[in-house]
Amino acid sequence: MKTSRTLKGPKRQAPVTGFDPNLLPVNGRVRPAAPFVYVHYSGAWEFHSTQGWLPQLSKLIAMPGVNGVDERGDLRRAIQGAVSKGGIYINPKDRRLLLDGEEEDEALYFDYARFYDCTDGRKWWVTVGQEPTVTRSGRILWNADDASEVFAAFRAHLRDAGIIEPMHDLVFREKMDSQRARIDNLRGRAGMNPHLSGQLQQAEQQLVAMEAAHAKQVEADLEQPTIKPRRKRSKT
Amino acid sequence: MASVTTTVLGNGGLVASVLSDLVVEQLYDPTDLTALMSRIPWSPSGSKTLDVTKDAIPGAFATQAETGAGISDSTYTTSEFSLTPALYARQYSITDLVPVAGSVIDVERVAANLVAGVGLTMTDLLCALFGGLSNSVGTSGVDLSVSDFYDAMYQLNSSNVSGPTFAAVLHPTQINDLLSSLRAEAGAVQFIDATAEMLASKGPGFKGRWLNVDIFQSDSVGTANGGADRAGAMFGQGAFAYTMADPRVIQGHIPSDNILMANELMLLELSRDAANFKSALVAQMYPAVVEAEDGRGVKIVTDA
Repeated sequence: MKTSRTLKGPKRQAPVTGFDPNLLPVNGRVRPAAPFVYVHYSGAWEFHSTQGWLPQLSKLIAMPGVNGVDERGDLRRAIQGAVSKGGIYINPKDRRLLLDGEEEDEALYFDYARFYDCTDGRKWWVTVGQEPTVTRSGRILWNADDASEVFAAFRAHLRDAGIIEPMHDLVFREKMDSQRARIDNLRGRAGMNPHLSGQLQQAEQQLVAMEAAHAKQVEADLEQPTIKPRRKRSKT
Repeated sequence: MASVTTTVLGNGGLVASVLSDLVVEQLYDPTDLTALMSRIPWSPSGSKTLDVTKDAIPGAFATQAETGAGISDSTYTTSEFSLTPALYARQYSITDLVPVAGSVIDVERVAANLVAGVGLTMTDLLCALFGGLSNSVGTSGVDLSVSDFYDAMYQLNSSNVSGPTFAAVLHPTQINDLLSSLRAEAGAVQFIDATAEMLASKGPGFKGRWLNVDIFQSDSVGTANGGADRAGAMFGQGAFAYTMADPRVIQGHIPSDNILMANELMLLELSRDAANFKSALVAQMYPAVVEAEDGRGVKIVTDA
């Protein structure tokens, strides 16, 4: 027989968010970046307004099926391929990446590939300095401007710590020639394209800065202690 | 005067909403760049890795004295690249309630969705190769311009990469910057927008042609320099290669009724889980991509 009854003590539950706020939201459109290592090729240098001449880094991605990477993400074959092309592999565990007094766990550049966890269980790999901000709508914004400055400092460290060989003088001359060609080109087109006059001025200023930065770098390199080659023993 | 409104919604006369038969696509990047790579036939012979030999470069003959010590051997230097296919898979499960409730999402539609994923996977894999190219043009933090585009062409020409056409794969931001730069240019060189015929032959993602370079757009193009830049690429034929390990050999392990599709690219099977009242569609493919010859490509690193 049905009787009236009052239900008491409703259960409580905290409002449920769509996902853990510490995870990066990914879906079909937004896909996480794969793990990677850096390689440097001797001709790859670019000028940076504050750090001077910096090595440009190539990225070897540890995606299975890409450049010989197997299903475990083993990059050895890809690294061998890059080294055979003349590349210098930047080992993330190279202790020269540590700054003075740094411990490995809290190092700025050591183990330069790091990751954030994603909502689907995957990892989103980033380089030094990259920090995401997730908006309420789930959009991921990256601190690209700040991160690029940190990354420039990282590349300067690779150069200054001797992990990468200094830029060869002939590479510098090649870069200068290229910049001069760019200036000539802009000068020729600026008449028909008035908006290029600003670019022309910038390019000319950069040429001067490039020269000065190289001279400064050469001076700094000379000050560093170098290993002298052993003399040949004279046969007596 | 008071008006009386009668609702029949709660009384069975009307329902809150019905499901349309029409299913529309969500916004996504359908770019399939498989055709931009050279295809290497997969030949299984007891290894997960396929090595491909690159023949020695022909050399001009050297002058030789008619009489003398004879001719010495020249070195016949070959090189190789390797393709290591890896398993890529995707699965969707449909509970029995879905067809029972008359959903417009049925097995055929899910299967078609999985098939579309093959091209997307290949695009992701190809774009993952760009960052490893040793040659680079563009300036970090600076928008892609017409000059960068020319620089990439000059670089390929300097490396003797033969045309007649090159391909450029750029991030949407880079495409926008290029178009913006082109807009400001004076001169007779014209950007040719993709027409319907071009899209039909070159596939989705093709944006147009400029200076005999086919320009493709893909959101799979990765970042560079701490996320400040994007690393697209321009390349000639033979820069990148791929293979697809044929999954049809697995057919013998699967009851034939469960195989929905089996071709040289992918195998799609239906897996019934009666105890959990659901059917899973499982697709698998075994692709591999490789930078076949570094000099045939140049990465274009510009502001993101």
